[in-house]
Amino acid sequence: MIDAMTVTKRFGRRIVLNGLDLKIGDGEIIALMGPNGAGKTTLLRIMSTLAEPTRGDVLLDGKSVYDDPVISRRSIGVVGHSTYTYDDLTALENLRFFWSLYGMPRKEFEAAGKALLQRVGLSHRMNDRVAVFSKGMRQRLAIARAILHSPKVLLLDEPFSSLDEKGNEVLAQILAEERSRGCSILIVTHDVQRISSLADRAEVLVRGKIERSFDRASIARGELEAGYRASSDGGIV
Amino acid sequence: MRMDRKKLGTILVVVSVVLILMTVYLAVFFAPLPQTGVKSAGEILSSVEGSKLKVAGFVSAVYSIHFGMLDGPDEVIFSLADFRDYGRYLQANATHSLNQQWWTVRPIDIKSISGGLNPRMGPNLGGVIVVGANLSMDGIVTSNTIAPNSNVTGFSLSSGSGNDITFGSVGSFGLMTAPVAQKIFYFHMPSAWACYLSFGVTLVGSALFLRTRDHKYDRVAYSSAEIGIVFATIAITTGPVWARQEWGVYWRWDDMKLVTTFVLWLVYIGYLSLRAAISEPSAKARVSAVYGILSFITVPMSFLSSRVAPLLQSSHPQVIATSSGSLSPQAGMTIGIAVVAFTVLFITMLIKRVEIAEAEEELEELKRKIGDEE
Amino acid sequence: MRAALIIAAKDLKVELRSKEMLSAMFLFSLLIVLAFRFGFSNAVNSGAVGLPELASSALWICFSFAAILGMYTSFAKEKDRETLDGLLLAPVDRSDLYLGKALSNLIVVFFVDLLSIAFFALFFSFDYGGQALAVVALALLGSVTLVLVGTLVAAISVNTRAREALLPILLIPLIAFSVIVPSVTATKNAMVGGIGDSVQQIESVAAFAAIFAVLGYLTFDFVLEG
Repeated sequence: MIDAMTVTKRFGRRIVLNGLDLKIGDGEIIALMGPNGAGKTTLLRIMSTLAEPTRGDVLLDGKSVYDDPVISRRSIGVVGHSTYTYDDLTALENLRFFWSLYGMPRKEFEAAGKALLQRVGLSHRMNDRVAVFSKGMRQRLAIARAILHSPKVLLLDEPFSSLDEKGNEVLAQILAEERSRGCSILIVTHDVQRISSLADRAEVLVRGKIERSFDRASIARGELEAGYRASSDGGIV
Repeated sequence: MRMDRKKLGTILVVVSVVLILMTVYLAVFFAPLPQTGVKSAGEILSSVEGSKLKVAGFVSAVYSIHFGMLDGPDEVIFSLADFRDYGRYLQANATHSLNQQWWTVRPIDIKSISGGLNPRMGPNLGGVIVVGANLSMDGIVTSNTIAPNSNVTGFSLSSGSGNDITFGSVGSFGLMTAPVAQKIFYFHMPSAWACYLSFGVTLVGSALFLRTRDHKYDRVAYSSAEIGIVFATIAITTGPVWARQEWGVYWRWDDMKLVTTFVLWLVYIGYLSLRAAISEPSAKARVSAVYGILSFITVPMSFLSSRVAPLLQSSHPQVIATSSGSLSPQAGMTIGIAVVAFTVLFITMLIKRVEIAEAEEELEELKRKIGDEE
Repeated sequence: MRAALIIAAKDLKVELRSKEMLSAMFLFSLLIVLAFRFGFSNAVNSGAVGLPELASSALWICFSFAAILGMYTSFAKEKDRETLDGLLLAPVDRSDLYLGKALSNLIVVFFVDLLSIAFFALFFSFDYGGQALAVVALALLGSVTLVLVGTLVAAISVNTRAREALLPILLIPLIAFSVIVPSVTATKNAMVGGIGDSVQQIESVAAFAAIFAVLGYLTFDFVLEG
């Protein structure tokens, strides 16, 4: 469970996040939506310990993630804007590097690495350099990279955009598996349709604050789509 | 509170102006000219010739001595003797025909000297004098002249034993060629002090910013760095005015004090360029705070460079930590007030600069708000 | 420390595959030594400049600029290909990241140092005599200091606009007296006689290495924070 409590982030005097609260329970998938510049990426960076909030705190299972960010990062997986993978290494080498960087037992990699690539559907290309991969393949590798240490929290920034139809199915499958493992998942996205079938809740972030929240039922009724469009236009829902 | 601060600012401005005027007055009318006994090459030659110089050397006196090129038929025999160890310093009694004086010399091993007799150094260059603790030997004075007035400001020695160790002597108050130029010292040294102080404040401000993430410390840090550059510039430009008169050249690239101070100046210019190259305010503050801390290593480098000879050679005069008798009471008082004046001036400028920084940030904020509304 | 080694190993593997840094630095050091060869050919032929004096200065100018190029690339590459955040997200101390980067930089820089030393011998027909080892040792020591401060400053400069221009502006004044001046003196001493005359210079370079290591270790955290 990860819990962002009254998170405020200022850059100089500019307020990006303004006392935001966001709680993701175990096995929950939350969608975070909102217009550009609303502070979504900043929130993701704060929750993944890449940045610290000016005020407020982020609790992971009741403990602040900033107390010991190095330990906290072991429980956090991130699929970011970019894939964080090295072009000059093969898919397997990339995973091996991060595997050892996350302090996972070296012996287990042989089996686990292949299994991971299998899950994202890259096992036939595991010894190819990432440089020759398509955008979608890179994104799949990025997903494998993000879950290799079985994180308690998975944060994804626009994960659908570079994936094709097949890739999105793979991602949906993985998200379901991770959810059933008890992982708390946050997805930043604009893709209302895709998220509608996945998310347990959708939060709309406008000007640094959660402006509106849609639960599973209201998403199913299609209220998210209408409401989200209104707030993207800058109107108050 | 706001009012009080404004009042304080005004008072500080008035006080610093008064103190600076006082320094000018004291430096011009009150502080004595350094004693001079020697004028021309001919004079010094005739006075030293054959006399005994019971000294081997020099390093640290307010008025250091340097020697130029050999000019004329001049080899003067003298001897070095009579060293007595007084704890940390050696004190040597030196005599020549003009007067008798005491010098404090530091116990350092003999090292050969650059400058001095090296014809490639240009016509007027002095040499750094580094002196041994256990010297007792005969030497030959090769006299020398310094353009433009052909005044001799010192001697160089070569050892009588035939090897070619070259070393010079000797610091004394009696051997200034350009006593009036020495007045600039009352502005040069305090601005060097103020620049070290400013960069020290930058260091502390940077560290406090990283600790607290409070942007007020960042404002103090970069305001202080800017002011420090102003003071460093004053120190770097007043130095050559004196050096031209006393050493015969504006600048010496072989003098560690000069070049390390120049590097200090460059590093803080770099600090400001770094700030200019980052637009996001909190990244700017954070990253430049790290560089602000790193930069500070050049301050002890510059400050200590004339002291840690022979690792770094310098003929720059030293003030602090030389023998206490090196300044006359009037000169001591003048320099004391000058230091206070520059310190107060620094504090005043810092307060004003931080106010400007606050106003600038407020303006940025207002501009952004207008932009948001549009 | 373990993480530092993993990162260094990754860097070297990537470097061996792509040879981006190595090829650029190789050409760069070759061209600098050649520039000295052409620029100083009159001075050398007429004997106005002694070869040891020229060699010590030319080598250190070459070492410094090639190192700046390499260290710049090592961070710029991570930043531009957006892999830096991946490293920052890993459960690894920033100081380990600093040490890892410094280590991989050192290995590449030292390798290029060796090339430059060889180039100099080649183009100037210069014989290091029995002192080649001393020159190499001094290059290693100086490069350690250079890399310890350079890695930190390179990380500072990747945060900025115009970072290619900024890195030398920020770094050269810092290494002028901590590395270049004492190393040039020590190298010249080594070439004309022995390394024994340069104890103070060597101590000074080593002391700065310690100072920079401590500063880098303590402050690297802040440099790479997002």
